[in-house]
Amino acid sequence: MKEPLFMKWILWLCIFLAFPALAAPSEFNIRIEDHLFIPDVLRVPANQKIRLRVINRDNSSEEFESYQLNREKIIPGKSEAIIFIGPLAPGEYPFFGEFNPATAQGRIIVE
Amino acid sequence: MFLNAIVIVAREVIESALVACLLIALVCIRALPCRRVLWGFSLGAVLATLYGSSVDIITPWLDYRGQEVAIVAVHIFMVGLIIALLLKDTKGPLQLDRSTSWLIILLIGFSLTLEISEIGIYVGAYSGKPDQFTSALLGSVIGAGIGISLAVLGFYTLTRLRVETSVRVIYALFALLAGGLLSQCVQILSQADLLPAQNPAWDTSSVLSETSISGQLLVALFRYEARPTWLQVLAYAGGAAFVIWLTMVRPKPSVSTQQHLE
Repeated sequence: MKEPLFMKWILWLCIFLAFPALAAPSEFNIRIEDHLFIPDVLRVPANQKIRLRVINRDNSSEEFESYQLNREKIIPGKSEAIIFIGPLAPGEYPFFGEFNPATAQGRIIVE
Repeated sequence: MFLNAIVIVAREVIESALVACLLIALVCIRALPCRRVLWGFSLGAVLATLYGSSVDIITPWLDYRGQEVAIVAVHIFMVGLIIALLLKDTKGPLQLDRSTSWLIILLIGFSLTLEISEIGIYVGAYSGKPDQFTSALLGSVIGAGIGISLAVLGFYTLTRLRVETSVRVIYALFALLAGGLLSQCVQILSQADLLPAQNPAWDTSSVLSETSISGQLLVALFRYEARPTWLQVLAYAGGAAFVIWLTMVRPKPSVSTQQHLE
Protein backbone atom coordinates (compact mmCIF):
# COMPACT_ATOMS: atom_id res chain seq x y z
CA MET A 1 0.00 0.00 0.00
CA LYS A 2 1.35 3.39 -0.94
CA GLU A 3 1.65 5.74 2.04
CA PRO A 4 0.17 9.22 1.67
CA LEU A 5 2.58 11.94 0.62
CA PHE A 6 1.70 14.14 3.60
CA MET A 7 3.01 11.41 5.95
CA LYS A 8 6.45 11.82 4.43
CA TRP A 9 6.20 15.56 4.88
CA ILE A 10 5.20 15.15 8.54
CA LEU A 11 8.14 12.79 9.07
CA TRP A 12 10.56 15.31 7.52
CA LEU A 13 9.03 18.10 9.57
CA CYS A 14 9.51 16.09 12.78
CA ILE A 15 13.14 15.42 11.88
CA PHE A 16 13.66 19.08 11.01
CA LEU A 17 12.10 20.28 14.29
CA ALA A 18 13.92 17.69 16.37
CA PHE A 19 17.31 18.49 14.86
CA PRO A 20 18.02 21.68 16.85
CA ALA A 21 17.09 19.90 20.09
CA LEU A 22 19.43 17.02 19.29
CA ALA A 23 22.19 19.43 18.41
CA ALA A 24 21.53 21.76 21.36
CA PRO A 25 24.88 22.97 22.66
CA SER A 26 25.91 22.65 26.31
CA GLU A 27 25.28 25.75 28.37
CA PHE A 28 27.85 27.32 30.69
CA ASN A 29 27.28 30.28 33.00
CA ILE A 30 29.52 33.16 33.95
CA ARG A 31 28.49 35.94 36.34
CA ILE A 32 29.71 39.52 36.46
CA GLU A 33 29.86 40.80 40.04
CA ASP A 34 31.69 43.93 41.17
CA HIS A 35 33.29 44.09 37.70
CA LEU A 36 34.78 40.60 38.05
CA PHE A 37 33.99 37.49 36.02
CA ILE A 38 32.97 34.59 38.27
CA PRO A 39 34.33 32.06 37.65
CA ASP A 40 37.27 33.68 35.91
CA VAL A 41 38.37 30.33 34.49
CA LEU A 42 35.84 28.22 32.63
CA ARG A 43 36.68 24.72 31.41
CA VAL A 44 34.75 23.54 28.37
CA PRO A 45 35.00 20.51 26.09
CA ALA A 46 36.89 20.74 22.81
CA ASN A 47 35.21 20.57 19.40
CA GLN A 48 31.77 21.37 20.76
CA LYS A 49 29.58 24.39 20.35
CA ILE A 50 29.02 26.17 23.67
CA ARG A 51 26.13 28.37 24.75
CA LEU A 52 27.67 30.84 27.18
CA ARG A 53 25.19 32.63 29.44
CA VAL A 54 26.71 35.80 30.89
CA ILE A 55 24.75 37.09 33.89
CA ASN A 56 25.51 40.68 34.85
CA ARG A 57 24.63 41.24 38.50
CA ASP A 58 26.14 44.73 38.56
CA ASN A 59 23.96 47.77 38.01
CA SER A 60 26.19 49.00 35.20
CA SER A 61 26.57 47.56 31.72
CA GLU A 62 29.63 45.59 30.67
CA GLU A 63 30.95 44.54 27.27
CA PHE A 64 32.09 40.94 27.00
CA GLU A 65 34.98 40.91 24.55
CA SER A 66 37.49 38.37 23.31
CA TYR A 67 39.83 38.80 20.38
CA GLN A 68 40.76 35.11 20.45
CA LEU A 69 37.14 33.99 20.41
CA ASN A 70 36.14 36.74 17.99
CA ARG A 71 33.23 37.73 20.22
CA GLU A 72 31.88 41.06 21.46
CA LYS A 73 28.56 41.75 23.17
CA ILE A 74 27.09 44.32 25.54
CA ILE A 75 25.65 42.82 28.70
CA PRO A 76 23.25 45.39 30.21
CA GLY A 77 23.26 45.87 33.98
CA LYS A 78 21.04 43.52 36.03
CA SER A 79 20.53 41.48 32.91
CA GLU A 80 21.93 38.51 31.02
CA ALA A 81 22.90 37.58 27.49
CA ILE A 82 23.83 34.51 25.48
CA ILE A 83 26.96 34.16 23.36
CA PHE A 84 27.61 31.10 21.22
CA ILE A 85 31.22 30.04 20.93
CA GLY A 86 33.06 27.18 19.29
CA PRO A 87 33.54 24.44 18.34
CA LEU A 88 37.04 25.24 19.59
CA ALA A 89 40.38 23.48 19.43
CA PRO A 90 42.03 22.73 22.79
CA GLY A 91 43.77 25.76 24.24
CA GLU A 92 43.30 28.94 26.25
CA TYR A 93 41.04 31.74 25.12
CA PRO A 94 41.18 34.93 27.22
CA PHE A 95 38.21 37.28 27.47
CA PHE A 96 37.67 40.59 29.26
CA GLY A 97 35.13 43.23 30.11
CA GLU A 98 35.92 46.16 27.87
CA PHE A 99 34.39 48.71 30.25
CA ASN A 100 36.46 47.45 33.21
CA PRO A 101 39.52 45.72 31.73
CA ALA A 102 41.59 46.22 34.88
CA THR A 103 39.39 43.83 36.86
CA ALA A 104 37.09 41.97 34.49
CA GLN A 105 39.44 39.33 33.06
CA GLY A 106 38.85 35.65 32.44
CA ARG A 107 39.90 32.62 30.44
CA ILE A 108 38.12 29.79 28.74
CA ILE A 109 40.18 26.63 28.83
CA VAL A 110 39.17 24.21 26.12
CA GLU A 111 40.25 20.62 26.81
CA MET B 1 40.31 53.83 33.12
CA PHE B 2 41.07 57.28 31.73
CA LEU B 3 43.20 55.75 28.95
CA ASN B 4 40.63 53.03 28.37
CA ALA B 5 37.95 55.69 27.87
CA ILE B 6 40.14 57.49 25.34
CA VAL B 7 40.76 54.28 23.35
CA ILE B 8 37.13 53.06 23.40
CA VAL B 9 35.59 56.40 22.48
CA ALA B 10 38.23 57.27 19.86
CA ARG B 11 37.64 53.88 18.19
CA GLU B 12 33.86 54.26 18.20
CA VAL B 13 34.04 57.84 16.91
CA ILE B 14 36.46 56.87 14.13
CA GLU B 15 34.16 53.99 13.08
CA SER B 16 31.21 56.30 12.58
CA ALA B 17 33.27 59.30 11.48
CA LEU B 18 34.58 57.45 8.41
CA VAL B 19 31.10 57.36 6.87
CA ALA B 20 30.45 60.98 7.81
CA CYS B 21 33.85 62.04 6.44
CA LEU B 22 33.30 60.26 3.09
CA LEU B 23 29.76 61.56 2.74
CA ILE B 24 30.59 65.16 3.62
CA ALA B 25 33.51 65.05 1.18
CA LEU B 26 31.20 63.74 -1.57
CA VAL B 27 28.56 66.34 -0.71
CA CYS B 28 31.15 69.13 -0.92
CA ILE B 29 32.64 67.81 -4.15
CA ARG B 30 29.16 67.74 -5.70
CA ALA B 31 28.48 71.22 -4.27
CA LEU B 32 25.37 70.11 -2.39
CA PRO B 33 24.22 72.02 0.68
CA CYS B 34 25.51 70.57 3.96
CA ARG B 35 22.20 70.99 5.79
CA ARG B 36 21.26 67.36 5.04
CA VAL B 37 24.41 66.25 6.81
CA LEU B 38 23.35 68.13 9.94
CA TRP B 39 19.93 66.43 9.77
CA GLY B 40 21.78 63.13 9.52
CA PHE B 41 23.71 63.93 12.70
CA SER B 42 20.43 64.80 14.44
CA LEU B 43 18.85 61.54 13.28
CA GLY B 44 21.94 59.65 14.48
CA ALA B 45 21.70 61.27 17.93
CA VAL B 46 18.01 60.31 18.21
CA LEU B 47 18.55 56.71 17.01
CA ALA B 48 21.61 56.26 19.26
CA THR B 49 19.62 57.47 22.27
CA LEU B 50 16.74 55.15 21.40
CA TYR B 51 18.99 52.12 20.87
CA GLY B 52 21.22 52.81 23.88
CA SER B 53 18.28 53.24 26.23
CA SER B 54 16.50 50.12 25.00
CA VAL B 55 19.44 47.70 24.64
CA ASP B 56 18.33 45.88 27.81
CA ILE B 57 14.91 45.33 26.19
CA ILE B 58 16.36 44.28 22.82
CA THR B 59 18.95 41.85 24.27
CA PRO B 60 16.55 39.02 25.30
CA TRP B 61 14.56 39.14 22.05
CA LEU B 62 14.65 36.07 19.80
CA ASP B 63 16.15 33.84 22.49
CA TYR B 64 18.84 36.40 23.39
CA ARG B 65 19.71 37.15 19.77
CA GLY B 66 18.09 40.60 19.78
CA GLN B 67 21.30 42.65 19.82
CA GLU B 68 22.87 40.65 17.03
CA VAL B 69 19.79 40.82 14.79
CA ALA B 70 19.46 44.58 15.39
CA ILE B 71 23.13 45.23 14.58
CA VAL B 72 23.04 43.07 11.44
CA ALA B 73 19.85 44.83 10.29
CA VAL B 74 21.54 48.23 10.69
CA HIS B 75 24.67 47.05 8.86
CA ILE B 76 22.75 45.52 5.95
CA PHE B 77 20.64 48.66 5.67
CA MET B 78 23.82 50.77 5.59
CA VAL B 79 25.32 48.62 2.83
CA GLY B 80 22.08 49.07 0.85
CA LEU B 81 22.25 52.85 1.34
CA ILE B 82 25.93 52.95 0.27
CA ILE B 83 25.10 51.00 -2.91
CA ALA B 84 22.10 53.23 -3.67
CA LEU B 85 24.14 56.40 -3.11
CA LEU B 86 27.05 55.28 -5.28
CA LEU B 87 24.71 54.07 -8.04
CA LYS B 88 23.05 57.46 -8.02
CA ASP B 89 26.40 59.27 -8.14
CA THR B 90 27.80 57.10 -10.90
CA LYS B 91 24.73 57.78 -13.08
CA GLY B 92 25.71 61.41 -13.02
CA PRO B 93 26.96 63.66 -10.23
CA LEU B 94 24.60 63.68 -7.26
CA GLN B 95 21.82 66.22 -7.60
CA LEU B 96 19.92 67.65 -4.71
CA ASP B 97 16.61 65.82 -4.86
CA ARG B 98 14.47 64.13 -2.28
CA SER B 99 16.04 60.65 -2.62
CA THR B 100 19.59 62.03 -2.38
CA SER B 101 18.65 63.98 0.73
CA TRP B 102 17.18 60.89 2.36
CA LEU B 103 20.18 58.75 1.42
CA ILE B 104 22.55 61.26 3.05
CA ILE B 105 20.40 61.69 6.17
CA LEU B 106 19.81 57.95 6.68
CA LEU B 107 23.39 56.91 5.96
CA ILE B 108 24.87 59.39 8.44
CA GLY B 109 22.11 58.69 10.96
CA PHE B 110 22.52 54.91 10.92
CA SER B 111 26.32 55.10 10.83
CA LEU B 112 26.21 56.98 14.13
CA THR B 113 23.55 54.88 15.83
CA LEU B 114 25.48 51.88 17.13
CA GLU B 115 28.79 53.59 17.86
CA ILE B 116 27.35 56.62 19.66
CA SER B 117 24.95 54.43 21.64
CA GLU B 118 27.93 52.35 22.78
CA ILE B 119 29.70 55.50 23.96
CA GLY B 120 26.53 56.45 25.83
CA ILE B 121 26.31 53.00 27.43
CA TYR B 122 30.01 53.17 28.38
CA VAL B 123 29.79 56.62 30.00
CA GLY B 124 26.42 55.70 31.55
CA ALA B 125 28.06 52.68 33.23
CA TYR B 126 29.93 55.16 35.46
CA SER B 127 27.04 57.52 36.16
CA GLY B 128 26.56 56.14 39.67
CA LYS B 129 30.25 56.57 40.58
CA PRO B 130 31.13 60.27 40.64
CA ASP B 131 34.88 59.68 41.14
CA GLN B 132 35.16 57.41 38.07
CA PHE B 133 32.54 59.26 36.03
CA THR B 134 34.75 62.35 35.71
CA SER B 135 37.66 60.25 34.41
CA ALA B 136 35.41 58.37 32.00
CA LEU B 137 33.84 61.60 30.75
CA LEU B 138 37.16 63.41 30.35
CA GLY B 139 38.68 60.39 28.59
CA SER B 140 35.63 60.22 26.34
CA VAL B 141 35.92 63.90 25.41
CA ILE B 142 39.60 63.45 24.51
CA GLY B 143 38.82 60.22 22.63
CA ALA B 144 36.03 61.95 20.71
CA GLY B 145 38.43 64.80 19.95
CA ILE B 146 40.99 62.37 18.50
CA GLY B 147 38.32 60.64 16.39
CA ILE B 148 36.86 63.90 15.09
CA SER B 149 40.34 65.30 14.36
CA LEU B 150 41.20 62.25 12.25
CA ALA B 151 37.89 62.59 10.40
CA VAL B 152 38.56 66.29 9.70
CA LEU B 153 42.06 65.41 8.50
CA GLY B 154 40.59 62.72 6.23
CA PHE B 155 38.00 65.17 4.91
CA TYR B 156 40.56 67.83 4.03
CA THR B 157 42.85 65.26 2.44
CA LEU B 158 40.00 63.99 0.27
CA THR B 159 38.81 67.42 -0.76
CA ARG B 160 42.32 68.64 -1.61
CA LEU B 161 42.82 65.91 -4.23
CA ARG B 162 41.84 66.32 -7.87
CA VAL B 163 38.07 65.80 -8.12
CA GLU B 164 38.36 62.63 -10.19
CA THR B 165 40.95 61.12 -7.84
CA SER B 166 38.97 62.15 -4.81
CA VAL B 167 35.78 60.53 -6.12
CA ARG B 168 37.65 57.30 -6.91
CA VAL B 169 39.18 57.23 -3.43
CA ILE B 170 35.76 57.86 -1.86
CA TYR B 171 34.23 55.03 -3.92
CA ALA B 172 37.09 52.69 -2.92
CA LEU B 173 36.75 53.58 0.78
CA PHE B 174 32.97 53.09 0.60
CA ALA B 175 33.63 49.67 -0.99
CA LEU B 176 35.97 48.68 1.86
CA LEU B 177 33.44 49.97 4.35
CA ALA B 178 30.67 47.88 2.79
CA GLY B 179 32.92 44.80 2.80
CA GLY B 180 33.82 45.41 6.44
CA LEU B 181 30.18 45.77 7.43
CA LEU B 182 29.25 42.51 5.69
CA SER B 183 32.19 40.69 7.26
CA GLN B 184 31.10 41.93 10.67
CA CYS B 185 27.57 40.70 9.92
CA VAL B 186 28.95 37.20 9.38
CA GLN B 187 30.84 37.31 12.69
CA ILE B 188 27.77 38.61 14.56
CA LEU B 189 25.44 36.02 13.03
CA SER B 190 27.93 33.31 13.98
CA GLN B 191 27.99 34.67 17.54
CA ALA B 192 24.18 34.31 17.60
CA ASP B 193 24.39 30.78 16.16
CA LEU B 194 22.53 31.92 13.05
CA LEU B 195 25.49 31.04 10.81
CA PRO B 196 27.84 28.10 11.28
CA ALA B 197 30.98 28.76 13.32
CA GLN B 198 34.28 28.25 11.52
CA ASN B 199 37.92 28.08 12.42
CA PRO B 200 40.02 31.16 11.57
CA ALA B 201 41.32 31.23 8.01
CA TRP B 202 44.60 32.75 9.25
CA ASP B 203 46.05 34.47 12.29
CA THR B 204 47.95 37.73 11.83
CA SER B 205 47.81 38.73 15.50
CA SER B 206 51.56 38.22 15.86
CA VAL B 207 52.18 40.62 12.95
CA LEU B 208 49.44 43.15 13.65
CA SER B 209 47.54 42.68 16.87
CA GLU B 210 44.03 44.11 17.24
CA THR B 211 45.11 45.47 20.63
CA SER B 212 47.93 47.62 19.19
CA ILE B 213 47.25 51.25 18.27
CA SER B 214 47.61 50.59 14.54
CA GLY B 215 45.45 47.47 14.94
CA GLN B 216 42.75 49.44 16.77
CA LEU B 217 42.86 52.08 14.02
CA LEU B 218 42.42 49.43 11.32
CA VAL B 219 39.60 47.81 13.32
CA ALA B 220 37.85 51.18 13.52
CA LEU B 221 38.41 52.12 9.88
CA PHE B 222 38.16 48.85 7.99
CA ARG B 223 36.89 46.27 10.53
CA TYR B 224 40.29 44.59 10.56
CA GLU B 225 40.33 41.16 12.19
CA ALA B 226 43.46 39.18 12.93
CA ARG B 227 41.57 35.87 12.87
CA PRO B 228 38.81 36.06 10.27
CA THR B 229 36.93 32.97 9.14
CA TRP B 230 36.73 32.10 5.44
CA LEU B 231 33.08 33.14 5.44
CA GLN B 232 34.08 36.57 6.75
CA VAL B 233 36.84 36.85 4.15
CA LEU B 234 34.33 35.93 1.44
CA ALA B 235 31.81 38.47 2.72
CA TYR B 236 34.46 41.20 2.92
CA ALA B 237 36.02 40.56 -0.46
CA GLY B 238 32.69 39.85 -2.16
CA GLY B 239 31.02 42.96 -0.72
CA ALA B 240 33.92 45.26 -1.57
CA ALA B 241 34.37 43.78 -5.06
CA PHE B 242 30.64 44.08 -5.76
CA VAL B 243 30.57 47.78 -4.80
CA ILE B 244 33.70 48.50 -6.86
CA TRP B 245 32.19 46.65 -9.82
CA LEU B 246 28.98 48.66 -9.51
CA THR B 247 30.90 51.92 -9.65
CA MET B 248 32.96 50.76 -12.62
CA VAL B 249 30.28 49.33 -14.88
CA ARG B 250 28.06 52.40 -14.68
CA PRO B 251 28.69 55.44 -16.86
CA LYS B 252 31.44 57.56 -15.37
CA PRO B 253 30.24 60.74 -13.66
CA SER B 254 31.13 64.09 -15.01
CA VAL B 255 33.86 65.18 -12.67
CA SER B 256 34.22 68.60 -14.11
CA THR B 257 31.16 69.86 -12.29
CA GLN B 258 32.86 72.14 -9.88
CA GLN B 259 35.84 72.49 -7.72
CA HIS B 260 35.23 72.31 -4.05
CA LEU B 261 36.22 74.06 -0.88
CA GLU B 262 38.26 76.99 -1.84
